[in-house]
Amino acid sequence: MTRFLPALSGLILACLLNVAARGDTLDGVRQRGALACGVSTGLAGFGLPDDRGVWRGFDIDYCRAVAAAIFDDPQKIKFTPLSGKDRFTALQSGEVDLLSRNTTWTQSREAGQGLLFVGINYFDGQGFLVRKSLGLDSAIKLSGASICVQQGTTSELNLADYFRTHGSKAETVVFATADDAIKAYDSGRCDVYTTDGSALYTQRMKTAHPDDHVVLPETISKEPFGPVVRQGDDRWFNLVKWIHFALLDAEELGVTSANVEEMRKSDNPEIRRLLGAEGDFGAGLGLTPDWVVRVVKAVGNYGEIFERNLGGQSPLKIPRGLNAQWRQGGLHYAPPVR
Amino acid sequence: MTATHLRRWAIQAVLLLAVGGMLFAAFANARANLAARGISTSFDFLNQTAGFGLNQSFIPYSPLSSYGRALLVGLANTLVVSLLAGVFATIIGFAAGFARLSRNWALARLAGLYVETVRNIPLLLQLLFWYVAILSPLPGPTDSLHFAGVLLNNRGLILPGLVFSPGAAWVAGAAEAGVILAFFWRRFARKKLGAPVWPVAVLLLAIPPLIAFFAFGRPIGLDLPVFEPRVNRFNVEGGLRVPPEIFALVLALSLYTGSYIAEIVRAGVQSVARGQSEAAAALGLNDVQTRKWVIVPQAMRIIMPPLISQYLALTKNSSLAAFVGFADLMQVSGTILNQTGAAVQVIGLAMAIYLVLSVATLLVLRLYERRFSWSAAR
Repeated sequence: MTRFLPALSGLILACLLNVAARGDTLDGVRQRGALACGVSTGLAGFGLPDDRGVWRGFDIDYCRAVAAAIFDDPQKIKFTPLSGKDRFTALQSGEVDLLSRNTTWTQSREAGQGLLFVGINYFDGQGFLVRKSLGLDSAIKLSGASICVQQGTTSELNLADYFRTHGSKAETVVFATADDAIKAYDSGRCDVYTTDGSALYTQRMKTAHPDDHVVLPETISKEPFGPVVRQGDDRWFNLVKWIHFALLDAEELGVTSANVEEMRKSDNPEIRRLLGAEGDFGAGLGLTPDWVVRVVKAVGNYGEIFERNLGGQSPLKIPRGLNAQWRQGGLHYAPPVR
Repeated sequence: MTATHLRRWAIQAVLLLAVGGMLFAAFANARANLAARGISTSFDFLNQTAGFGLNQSFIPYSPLSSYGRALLVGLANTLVVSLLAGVFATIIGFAAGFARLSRNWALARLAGLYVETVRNIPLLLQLLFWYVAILSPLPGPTDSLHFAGVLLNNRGLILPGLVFSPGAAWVAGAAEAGVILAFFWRRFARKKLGAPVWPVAVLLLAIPPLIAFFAFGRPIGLDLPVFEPRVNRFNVEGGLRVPPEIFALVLALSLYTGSYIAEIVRAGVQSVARGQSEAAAALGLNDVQTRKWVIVPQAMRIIMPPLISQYLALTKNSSLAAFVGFADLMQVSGTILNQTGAAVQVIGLAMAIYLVLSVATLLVLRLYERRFSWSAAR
């Protein structure tokens, strides 16, 4: 027994001293030398490793933007794929500093779980995928169907609300992962597959015959996606938030990854302030004045990120729709550069 | 008190203090950190509205019920699946165990093949395999297979349900009266008459409910399942639906646990001395009688403890249900965890429930063991 005592007392001391200090996230990231980013387990367009294992996607580019702002190197990221069930716990516990994973902004997730959404970077809504052979043209006719959905998502809740509003009922078959759900739908276990609109197109490509399936016109909910950070670190919250706004402002002012160097010499005062040629846009965020230049050089502006991952340059070809700038009839409206 | 005693007490006291101290420190640490990050640690969320539907529940549930109720539904589902799988696993396990010891060469080899294959493949893979194997050949609701009022399609097995009208209470009462009468008849027949119990007992059990049924205008009706596209073009309406997930789960769990039980049974039977079966043969008992009266009672002493472990493992293995879309305790907890963010509370609650289930199973089986004097403690 005596030979265990030193080890035992060491263990006790280690446990007692292991009170995790909350600390400053930016300092922690700089110390670690890499941004810990929580991403999807694999959703084409938003976060998926390519054939060489390099992560690509809309949410991935947001992580790269933050890494570029802090380190001037968009590759200094440690990616952690998270499922729907453990994404918030990973963020709360400090395993990741930023959750960029097509997560819907809801009050219960924010206030109830000690998190903060930095803004909306993608406006989406829930839709339904059905077989063309059913000849359905509207979601109102779905009463009595079997619907496959992923566990723990707002999709599950919205389904219940939708059928309650219309006084009809449906069988919800809930699976642990989105892949299980789409497989079960394809095998005929369910008549309908439901998830956020953007994911419907990518999941449709996973069925045996994608052309046999059609997305119904109804969007039954609002699903605003945004990056998420922990509460209690205002500087980190502001940093990520203003990187998001800088991406939108850059697109609005016409600054792209190709012309950002020349734009530094522009006469437009707003562009000069944005790119750090004058003024102090970004003071108090803990970054050098040319942080926007670094970000846009690394990932481009919001429009470029969208086109590359979700729009014309990608297989998904999702139209900008609500995700266009306010001047083009969309909902993206960033605060002025001041 | 000698020095040895003092030392022993001192070491035990230190050990208890150390373990208690670690547990307390961990608990206090977790609570402090959660509070610092603004995450609540209360159990109030159990009263909030759930908002999600469950496709299989043995108790009434709707999306307007509370999270607590959803957990109960999950618990009921886990219990049903574990019980069913346990019964089948025992039957399969004992059969395979005896088959492996049989003198029929082919039977023994086949049983051996089953045991070795199934034991060595991970349960999750087997579960997914059976899920696909069960779903693939089944037709959609439009082409459901039907047989004597029962429909079978890839949404499940739909049995005729029972519809109760007001007179049904009388039928239930009459059935109860029949049971009581049969009980008294059994005592009377055994003690006074020495006559066979069952023929009259069956009549006593069957006749009162039948009389009540017809006397009160057939209050129990059948709700036959039917596929009527004008009412519901997607699924069968009416009846009692047993989803295919339950079949896949029970099948996979019973085959898997059955293979382990087969090995345990084989070990138990082989541990009984050869002399026992030789002596039984010398006394004129045939194989079946030997096995039933001589071998198995002695083998059960070796079989019971590992068998209890297998049942406990079975209950916990049922938590894989989330992978096939079945609303068991683990799956419902996962959904609640995600919706409320109360990770520590929900996981703690789920762990506590599994612990209580395991301990309850253990106690019941220990009692069973003691009753038949199979336990090593005499």
